[in-house]
Amino acid sequence: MNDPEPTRTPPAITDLFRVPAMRNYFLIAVAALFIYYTLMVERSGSLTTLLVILIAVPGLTARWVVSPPLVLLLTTYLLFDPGFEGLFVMIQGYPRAWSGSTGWYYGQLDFTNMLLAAAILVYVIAQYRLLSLFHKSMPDDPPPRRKGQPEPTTPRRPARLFTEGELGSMLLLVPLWIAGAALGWEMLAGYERGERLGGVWGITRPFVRFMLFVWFLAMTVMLISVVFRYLALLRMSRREARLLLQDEFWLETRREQERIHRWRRWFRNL
Amino acid sequence: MLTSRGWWFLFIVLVQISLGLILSDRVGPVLALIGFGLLAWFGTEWLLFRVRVQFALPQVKFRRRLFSGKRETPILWAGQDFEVRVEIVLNSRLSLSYITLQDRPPSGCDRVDGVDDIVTSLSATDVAAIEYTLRCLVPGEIRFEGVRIQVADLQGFFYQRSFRRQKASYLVLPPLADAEGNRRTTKSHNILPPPGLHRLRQTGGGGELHDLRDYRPGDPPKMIAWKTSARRDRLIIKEFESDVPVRCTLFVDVSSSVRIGPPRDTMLSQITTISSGIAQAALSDRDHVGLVLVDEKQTEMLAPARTSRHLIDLLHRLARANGSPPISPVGDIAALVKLANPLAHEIYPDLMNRRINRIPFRMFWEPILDSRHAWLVLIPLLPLALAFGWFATYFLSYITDFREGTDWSRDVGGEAYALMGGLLVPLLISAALALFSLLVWLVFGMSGQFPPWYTLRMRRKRLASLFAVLDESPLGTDARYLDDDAFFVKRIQLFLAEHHRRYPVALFDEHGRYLFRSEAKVETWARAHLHSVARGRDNELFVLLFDLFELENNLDGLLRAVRVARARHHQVVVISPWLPGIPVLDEKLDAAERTKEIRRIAVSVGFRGVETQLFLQTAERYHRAFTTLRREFGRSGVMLVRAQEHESVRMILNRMDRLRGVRARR
Repeated sequence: MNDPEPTRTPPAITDLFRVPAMRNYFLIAVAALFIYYTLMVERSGSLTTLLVILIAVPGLTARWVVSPPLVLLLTTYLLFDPGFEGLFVMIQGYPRAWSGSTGWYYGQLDFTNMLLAAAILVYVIAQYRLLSLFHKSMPDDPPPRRKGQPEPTTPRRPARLFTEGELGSMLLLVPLWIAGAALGWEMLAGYERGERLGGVWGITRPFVRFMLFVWFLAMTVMLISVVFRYLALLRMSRREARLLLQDEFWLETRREQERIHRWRRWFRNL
Repeated sequence: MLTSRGWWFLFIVLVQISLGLILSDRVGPVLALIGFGLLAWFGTEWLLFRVRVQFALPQVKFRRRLFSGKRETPILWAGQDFEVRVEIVLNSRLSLSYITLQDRPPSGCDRVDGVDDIVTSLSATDVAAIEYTLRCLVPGEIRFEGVRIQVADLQGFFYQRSFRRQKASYLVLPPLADAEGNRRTTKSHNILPPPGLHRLRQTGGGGELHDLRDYRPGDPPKMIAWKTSARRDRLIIKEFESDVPVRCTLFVDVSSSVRIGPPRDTMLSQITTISSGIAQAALSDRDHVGLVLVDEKQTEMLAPARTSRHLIDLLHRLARANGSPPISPVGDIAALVKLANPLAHEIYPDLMNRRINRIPFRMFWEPILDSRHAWLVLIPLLPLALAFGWFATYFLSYITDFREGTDWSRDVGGEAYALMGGLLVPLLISAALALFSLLVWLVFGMSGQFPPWYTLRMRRKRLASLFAVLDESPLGTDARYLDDDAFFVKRIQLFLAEHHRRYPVALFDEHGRYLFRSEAKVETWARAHLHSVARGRDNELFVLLFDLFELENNLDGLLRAVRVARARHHQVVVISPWLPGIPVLDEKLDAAERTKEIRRIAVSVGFRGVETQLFLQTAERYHRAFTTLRREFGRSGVMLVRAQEHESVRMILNRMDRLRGVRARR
């Protein structure tokens, strides 16, 4: 059966508690933020962590799309400069007094670090899925409208498409993603521990890690893209293949063809 | 594929990872760990989405069915509602968790009920259905293009749009209601045939007395007219009329000139409505009706018949003829491209994809040497060439002197000074001119890089490649589309017409001449008419539904054909479609009153200044042309009526009654 006519009116805030899909994601995000707060308080202080939470809340309740990126950026900064101490030093006019050092070294991978990463990941997933449900899930890409047609509706994922499996798979996969992330870190750090590159030509160890990451990421994306591109070529339709070859011919001979058609025009206009 | 939300998220995660790695000696692994976790999740989602788009999306299949009432129907009727049901399935083991499907509704229809899109999830076991109701108001052809598909992930990071093409055309036949529902109730008994009208020339088994003649052995006794025989004292036999049904042939003008205008308000729609009304009413009285579709060059004939199948065939042909807009030989390329480009992107996203339909940067370079402005570059280079020649001459003379043993080093300073002093000014001038030439070459070459040429050329190239592929044209056709404006204009109009997209039709060429005035079509009409007359029997009625305006002075061929028909005792009626917007006035008005009335109408419509004058001129000219046409046809004993007069169908039926020979129509 068809959906009811979609509207541009966004869902009400009460739907967060009424509609199961929104309620589930909302509660999961709140729980993740609670864990985040608990873990971050000891690192960057309660006030600054509360600031992050205050930024996160409008994203969950008022469709503020900038909220998750801000939370991520603030978290990054707070891990580097807990409690904005360095920033205060700079503002007070002693830029050299703060070199960016935090004085806090979180040590090697431990459970709290992984839990913090998991909490942020769960919050981000829940927040974006919630935004898809009650803000927008696709770019505005309506078909060309004809005269008299109604305004295009905001593309929003209907809550009825929500399945319990989404939550289950998310909660199952989060530990795997975090484990994968830990493995990635260990590989980078382990590769570097041998100091094969660090120290050579004055390159610092963190920078080597960064270079390795960039190289690995670029290679992975390139390889996957090549595979998909090759598969796309294999599955290309007859028309697409013809267009590709036709374009190639045109690129090779376009100047000559232009001249031919110019003379044709000239002859026609005689 | 990545949405702006996805790009922003990826950017922030990469920044986070970069900072986490670069500052890892200070902050430890936590920042990198968070970033890696987010990236792993993002990468997994991307991979899953890509796999679904690559393998599952092409497997989305659909079937569209049209229902009228409860029954599936292959044909539609104008003015009646019909339901569209589209069933969509996914023939893949993968699933699409969030997909939007929209059945692209055809042009020329109004949506009455339901929605043409659905947001759903699809798996191999699901069947999604779109149901909505449409109504077509005018006869013609409607075309369903296919289903538009939009796929996104659950977070809104990735998005893909596709279009599953499945062209399906349906003919919308003119409504049947008027034939049965609005039959005439006025009494038309006792109408005598016009004097001298040679109605029937054959005797047959009809009911009306045709003639009396002497008895011949073998005549059936029941045919003896006893009273007359007694009066004349010899046996007289009654002969009855042949009960030949009346045959009506409709000549329908389907040339480009009658297709101009909005789809629901063209002259052709007037003509087809009248034609279908006449055909249905005549066939309901078991009269034969034939159809001749005539355009500028071709004629399509349907011999008169009276079966219901024949009626459907006739209506099909009328609907098909009414389906396409005119193709103008000239047009505004920018306006047409602006219409065709989004349509092509919507329906052929795979063939308009920039990975396949490429736009190389160098195609925007405009080579001045290939243009007629090449002299701007070449002439300023001439002084440099002359200076170079001069310099070379000096140089060669020195070389020659050196070989001949001249001690050139003795006064080398003075010679060099003389040489340089003589050449310096020309060299400087020629260098400046060369610089100017270089500048012109550069500016001209770069001119293609800037809008609006850039945008127009880019879109035109993509459309040219698309057209060449769709037509499976020989190699090089795409280049011709790019360089031959007339060729491209014709094809782009065809493209828009095929997809039932309205476009501006140029009516006049650059010299102000009307483009749809075709004297050749008068000859085609005349040939078609003579062909029908040659094959006609008695009691033929020829109804010519022709757009005769702009041709009032070139109708000799058609008038000759009409006279031939009249000479063979056929009836001819001309119905001329009336240009929408031109007021229909009382014919008893004289010229001054008519002008006054037209001016009053122009003011009431809201025209001002020049608009009023234009309207006045056009309407005056139209009425004058109509008067001339009526006079010309009147001389041949043929009535000319306007298509907008609602009595035109009734008038034709009355004329058929006369031909039938004073039979009463119930």
